[in-house]
Amino acid sequence: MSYNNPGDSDNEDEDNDYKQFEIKDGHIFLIEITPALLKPLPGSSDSQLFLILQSINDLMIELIKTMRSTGVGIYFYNCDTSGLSKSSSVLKPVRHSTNGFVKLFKLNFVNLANMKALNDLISDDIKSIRSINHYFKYLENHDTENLPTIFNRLLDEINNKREFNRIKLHWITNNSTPFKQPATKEKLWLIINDIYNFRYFINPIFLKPSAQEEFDVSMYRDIFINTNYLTKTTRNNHEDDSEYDEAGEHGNDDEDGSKLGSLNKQSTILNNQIRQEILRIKEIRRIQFSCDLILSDGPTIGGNLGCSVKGYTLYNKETYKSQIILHNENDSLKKVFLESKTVNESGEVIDLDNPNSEDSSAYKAKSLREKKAEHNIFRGHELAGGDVIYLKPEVEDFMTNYTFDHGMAKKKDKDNNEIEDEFGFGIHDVDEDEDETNGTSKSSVEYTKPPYLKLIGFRDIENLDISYNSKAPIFVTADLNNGLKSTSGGRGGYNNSFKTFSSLYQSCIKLKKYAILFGCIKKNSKPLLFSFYPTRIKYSTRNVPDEEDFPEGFLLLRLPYINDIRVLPDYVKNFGFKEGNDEDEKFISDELVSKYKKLFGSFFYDNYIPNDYPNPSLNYLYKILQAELLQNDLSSEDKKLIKNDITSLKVSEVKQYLVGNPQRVALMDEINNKLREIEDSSHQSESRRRFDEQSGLESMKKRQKVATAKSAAASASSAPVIDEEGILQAWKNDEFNKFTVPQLKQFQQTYRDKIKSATKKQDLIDNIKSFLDSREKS
Amino acid sequence: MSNSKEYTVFLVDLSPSMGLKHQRRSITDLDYGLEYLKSDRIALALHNSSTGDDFELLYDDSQFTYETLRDYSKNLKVSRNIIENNDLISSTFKALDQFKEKIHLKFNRQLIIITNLDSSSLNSMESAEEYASMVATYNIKIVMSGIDYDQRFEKSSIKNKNENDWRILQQRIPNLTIRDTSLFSIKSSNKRIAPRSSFAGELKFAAEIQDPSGEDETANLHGLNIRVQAFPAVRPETVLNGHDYIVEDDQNRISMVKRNTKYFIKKYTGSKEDEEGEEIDMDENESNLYEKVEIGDSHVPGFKFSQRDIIVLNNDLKELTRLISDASIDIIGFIRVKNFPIAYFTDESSYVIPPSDSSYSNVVAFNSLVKSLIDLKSLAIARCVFVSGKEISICALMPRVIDISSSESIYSLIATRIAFKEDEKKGRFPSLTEIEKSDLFDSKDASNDSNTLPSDDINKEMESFIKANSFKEEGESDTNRIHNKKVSNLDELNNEKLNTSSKLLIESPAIDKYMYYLRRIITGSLSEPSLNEYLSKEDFVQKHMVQGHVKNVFNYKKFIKENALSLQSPFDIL
Repeated sequence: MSYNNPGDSDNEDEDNDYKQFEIKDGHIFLIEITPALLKPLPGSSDSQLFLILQSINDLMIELIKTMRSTGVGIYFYNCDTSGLSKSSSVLKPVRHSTNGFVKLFKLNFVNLANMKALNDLISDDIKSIRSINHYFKYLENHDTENLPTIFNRLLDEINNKREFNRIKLHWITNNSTPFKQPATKEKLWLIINDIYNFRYFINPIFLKPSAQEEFDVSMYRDIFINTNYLTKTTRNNHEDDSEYDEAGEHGNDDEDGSKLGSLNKQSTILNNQIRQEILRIKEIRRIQFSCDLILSDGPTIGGNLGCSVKGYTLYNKETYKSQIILHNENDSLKKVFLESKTVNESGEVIDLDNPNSEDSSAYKAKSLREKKAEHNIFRGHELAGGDVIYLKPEVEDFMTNYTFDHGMAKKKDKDNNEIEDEFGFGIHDVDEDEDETNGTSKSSVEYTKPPYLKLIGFRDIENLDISYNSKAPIFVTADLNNGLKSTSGGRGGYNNSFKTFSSLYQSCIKLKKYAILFGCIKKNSKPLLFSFYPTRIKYSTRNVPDEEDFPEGFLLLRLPYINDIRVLPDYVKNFGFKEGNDEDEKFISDELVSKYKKLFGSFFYDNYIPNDYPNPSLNYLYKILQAELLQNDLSSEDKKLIKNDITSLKVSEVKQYLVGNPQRVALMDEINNKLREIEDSSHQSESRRRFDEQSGLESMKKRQKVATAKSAAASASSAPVIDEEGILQAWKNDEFNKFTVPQLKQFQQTYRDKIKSATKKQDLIDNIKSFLDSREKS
Repeated sequence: MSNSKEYTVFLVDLSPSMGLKHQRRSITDLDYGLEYLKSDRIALALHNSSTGDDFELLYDDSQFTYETLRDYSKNLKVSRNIIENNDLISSTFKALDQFKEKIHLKFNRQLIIITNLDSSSLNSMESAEEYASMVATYNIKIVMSGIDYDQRFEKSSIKNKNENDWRILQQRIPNLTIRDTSLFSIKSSNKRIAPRSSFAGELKFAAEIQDPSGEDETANLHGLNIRVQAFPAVRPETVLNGHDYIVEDDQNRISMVKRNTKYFIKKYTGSKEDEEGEEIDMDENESNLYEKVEIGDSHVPGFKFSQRDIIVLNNDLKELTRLISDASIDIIGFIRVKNFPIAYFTDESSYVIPPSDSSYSNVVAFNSLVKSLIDLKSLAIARCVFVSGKEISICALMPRVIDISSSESIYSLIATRIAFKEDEKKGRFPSLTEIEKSDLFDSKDASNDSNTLPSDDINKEMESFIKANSFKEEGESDTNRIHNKKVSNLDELNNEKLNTSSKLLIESPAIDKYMYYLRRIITGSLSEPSLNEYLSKEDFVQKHMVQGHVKNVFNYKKFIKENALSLQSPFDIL
C-alpha cells in the first residue's frame, strides 16, 4: 500500500475521489502517578508504570514501521520532580501548569528522539543503571482538586495540533477518587463536555489498584455522564475506532461502526492486560471499499434481496514506503517536491488549469480528463505503424462501462431513451434511481453502476480452490449504516443490512457453503469474480486455542481470469505422467511417499501465527537506518543473519529437532539412501534411461545457452568501449544506432545514477540523449 | 518454442459464394471467416480475387501495420465471377511457396485457409507429396478453416465433393488439420507468455541455513535437498493503459504529450517562535509560510524514517540495509490445509517444479514429496528467498497435481507468500451471531431494531435461498488437482466436460469488451478515408459503437448462459 502525498502535484489519475489519506491519529497518554502505580507487582520487580511505559515503547516501535503518521505524547500528573534538577530530569513541566504535571514528550509524530527518550528510560531500568522510580515519584500532598487545571493545560497543549485527524486521550489511573469536592465535579464535567464537543476522544483505562481491590468507576460515571466515553470504554469497543480508507475516500464519521459492540463486562483491567490494551491502539479498521451486495435481482418477487457491505484490510504485504527525494543544502536536508506539467511535442506547456476558450468558472468544475479533452488531449493507443486510436471521453466511458443489468422489464416513457437504455448508455437513469435511499426503491433499479457485488451462486466449501492467489483477501462485514453514511457519498443501500448479512453468514456456516460473486468493488475498478468465503470455518480459522479467531464475516478472494493464469514451461511434459502408468513412469516412489509421511509427521504445527514472525528484511532495514540516524555503530554480531532473521532460526530448529532424535535421523538417512538407490538404478530401466538422456540434453542445452551468453558477453566486451568523445560525436550527428546495445549499456553503466537503463535499444538511446541534453543545458 | 514469432499466410477464398450468407448468420461467409487475424507477420493470399486472378499474394516483409491492414482489406472483396479452372488446392500450394523465401529464419509458420468450399474446384493434388515433405521438414502448420464444415445439415453437392477432396488431401499431408470455423472463436487460452523462472535453487528440509556473514558451515549430513525452479503462476492482466495524445485541430497531427517535471524545495519564510526550543514542528501544511525554490537536478534519494527523521539513502547505505541471505526454499514445518486460513495469503502465487535438467531421482524425490503432502492433506510452510540477497519471505507450499494435457499430469507445489507480523492489519468488528449489551449504562442503541439479529424464520428462508442458488457440482472436490493446458487457437479442442471451477475460469469481461471495441473501431475505420477522420465523427458512440451490437452492460443471464452455469430459479425471501 502506498499513500499519495496530496501535496505532490496533480495526480495522473482523473478521479480525485481516489486521493489517498494517511492515518493520522494522535495518542496522548495521561498517567496519574499513585503509590500503587509505582509499587513492584507481586512476584515481579516491575511496577504497573513500568509495564505501561514498556508497552508504549513497543507500540511506538510498531508504529514507526507501519503507521508513521501516528502521534504519541506522554504526560504524568501528581509526579514529584522536586528532587531532580531541571537538567538531570527527563521530565519537563507542562507550561503554565501546577507543580506535578509533567511530560516525557509532547504529542508529536512518532520519531527517533522521542523513541530514544522512552527507550533509554526502560533500558536503563532493565540494565539496573537507573530505575524509573528515580524520575517518577508520587507527589504527596498534591492538590486533590487539580484535575480541572490539568485538563485545561492539556487542552492548551493539543489545541494547535492540527496535523492529526483525530486525537485520543488515554487516561490511565488506578485512583478511584479523582476529586473530593462537588465543585470540582462540576468543573470537570464541563471540561469533559468541551472535550467531547471538540471531538477529542477519551479512553479511560482503569487499573485495579491491587489484586484484592476492585476499581470503583462510580465517580468517573458522574463526570462522563453526557458523553459516550464510558459506555464505550474498554475492550472490544467498536464505536470509537476510526476507519481509514486505503482506497481513497476518508471515512471521517466518528460514530460509524458498531452499535452492537460487545461492551466490556469488567470495567478495570488487570496488569497482564495493560500491554494488550495499549498495543490495541494500532488496531485500526482500514476500509477498502463500500458497496451493495446484491443477492437477488430481476423482476421476480423477492427480487430485491441484498445488503450493504464494507470491506476492510485484514492482512496485506507491508513494504517500506517512505522513499522520498531530498535536497542537501549546506548539510541540511530538505524534502523535495515535484511539480509536473503536461507539455506537447515541442516542449510547450499546456496549461490545464486554464481553459482554451470558454468561461473559467465552468471549466474549474471539470474533471482533469474533461480539462484535457478541452485541450484536445485524449487517451489513445498506438497501432503498429504509428497510427493512433484516440478515445474521446464518451467513447472511453462507453468502452469501460461496467454497469450491471438486472434484466428488468424494458423502458419507460421517453422514446429517445430507448436505445440508450438498451445499451446501458442511459447513465442518468441510473443516477436517479440510486438517489433513492430506501430498500424498496431497489426493486425498480434496472441497472447498477459500479461499485456493486452481485451473487452468481453458492458452492460447497469443499470446492474452494486457493491455488491461484493474486492479492490478500479482503474482509467483508455488514455496513451498519445501510450505505447511508458510506464513504462513497452515502447514496444509500439496502435496509436491514446487518440482519441480512448476519443471516447470510449464519446460513453459509450452517450449510457449509460459500458464494461466488461478480462485480466492481470501487467506482472505477474493473469487474472481477470473487469467492466470498465465511470466516471461522475450515480454511478460514486461526486455530489458535485461547485466542480470538478472525472476526465474523466473509473473506473476499479474487478468482483469476483465464488470462491471468500463466502457463507452465514446455519442458514439464518430460515428466508428465498418465493415470494408470506404473510407478516407474509416474516418477514417484511409493516407498518414499510413505517414508516422507512418517518423517514429516513429527514436524507439524497446529497453526501459523503471523505475529510470531516479524519480517526480517523490513526490520533489518529499520535497524540499520535507525543506527545510522542515531550514529550508533552496530557490531558484526548485530548484523548476523541469525540475529535478525526469525525464519532462519526456525530453519535451524528444524535441523536441531531432526538431529535430536535418532529415529528421525535414521528415517532421513533411509530417504536419502533410497534416493541414491533410485539414482544408481536409473540406467537399468529403459524409461529412466530415456528420461535421463532427455534431461541430460536439457542440461547440455542450458550449458550451451550459458556458454553462448557468456561468449556474447565476451564479444561485447571485446567490442571497442566507446569513450565520451565517441558518444558526443554520435550525439551531435545523431548516429547512436551505429553502436551495439552492449556498447550503449557500457556507457549507461558509467553514468548509471543518471541514465536509466532500458531493455530496448531505442529507449536506451533516448535515455542517453536526454542525459546529454540535460548536461548541455546545465 | 512458445516465444518465437509467428508468420501466418492467410489464403482467403474470394469466390462469389463467399459473399453469401448462410445458416441465418447476419454476415457473409467472408466476414464470418475473417473474424480473427493475428500474427507477427502476415501475408494474404487471395484465391479467385476480385481482380480476376486465380491467385494473388499480398505480402510486406515487415511488421503488420494498420496501413497494411487497410491495404489488405481493400482487396478482400468477393469476386463477381468464378474463374476458369478454379482450383483451391493448387492455390494452397502456391501459398505454401511463400514460405520458401527466408525459410531459414526462425518463425512459427502457419497457413490458414478460409473458405466455405462451396465453389466448384479442380482440386488437383499432383504435388501433394512434394509439399508434404516441405511442410514436415519446416514444421509448417496448415489449418483449413472450413465454414460450416462440421455442421450436420444439407450441403450442396459441390461442397460435399470439396470436403471429400480435402479429406483425401489431409491423408497425404499429415500437417493439415481441418476445423470448422466456429471452433476458432473458442476463447479459452492461457496467456501464452513464455514462462520466466523466478527462482532456481534447492528445496530443502532439515538442511542447515548458512549465514553468509558467519563462518558456521555445518556439513549437510541429514537434510533433504531437491533442486527446483519457480515460475509465476498468476499475474492479473490489466486493460490496455495507453498514453495521452494531443490531437491538433486539423485532426491530422496526433502526437504524444509528455510530462515535464520540476523539482523544488519549500523554504521557510515565516517567523514561527520556537516553542521552548525543545521540539521543532515539521508542519508543512502552512503553505503560506513557505516559498518554492527550484533546485534543478541536485536531489538525492532519501528515506523518511519518521515524520521528523529523514536520511539520505544512497546506494551504499541501501546495500547495507539489505539482510543478505542465499536463495533457497527451506521447509520449516507442515500444517493441515484445513487449519491454514486463506486470510494469510498476501501475494501472487508461483509454481514450484523440478528444473528442466533434473535427474530422474530428483523428479522422484520431488513428486514423492508432493504426493505425501496430498496424502497428509497438508501444506508446507517454508522460508523463501527467491533471489540471493533479496527479500526473505514465508510461503505456504500447497501440493497440486496439474493436468498439462488431456491425458498427462505433473506434480507441482504452489508457493504463495503469507503474512508476517507487520502485515497484520487487525481491526475490531461487530459479531454477527451475538449482541452484547453494556453493563455500565443502558445503551440507547439497543432499541435500534434494524441492527438486531435475524430471526429463525429469516435464517430458514436464507437457507432455502442458498440451496436454491447453489451450483450443481458433480464430481468436483478434488481441489488438489488443477488444469493448466496450453491451448492456442490452432490446437485441437478438448471436448471434455467442464466442472464448475473450470466454468468459472473465464476471460476478463472488461478486457474482452475493451478489445472488442478497439477491434470494432479498427474495422469500422477501414471503410473511411482515414482513422482520424473516422474518430472525429460527431456522435461517434451512438452512430458507430452502439448500433446493432451486443449489449454494453454486464448481464447476469448472459453470464450464466455464456458460462453454462446451471442454476435453479432464485428463491423468494424476506
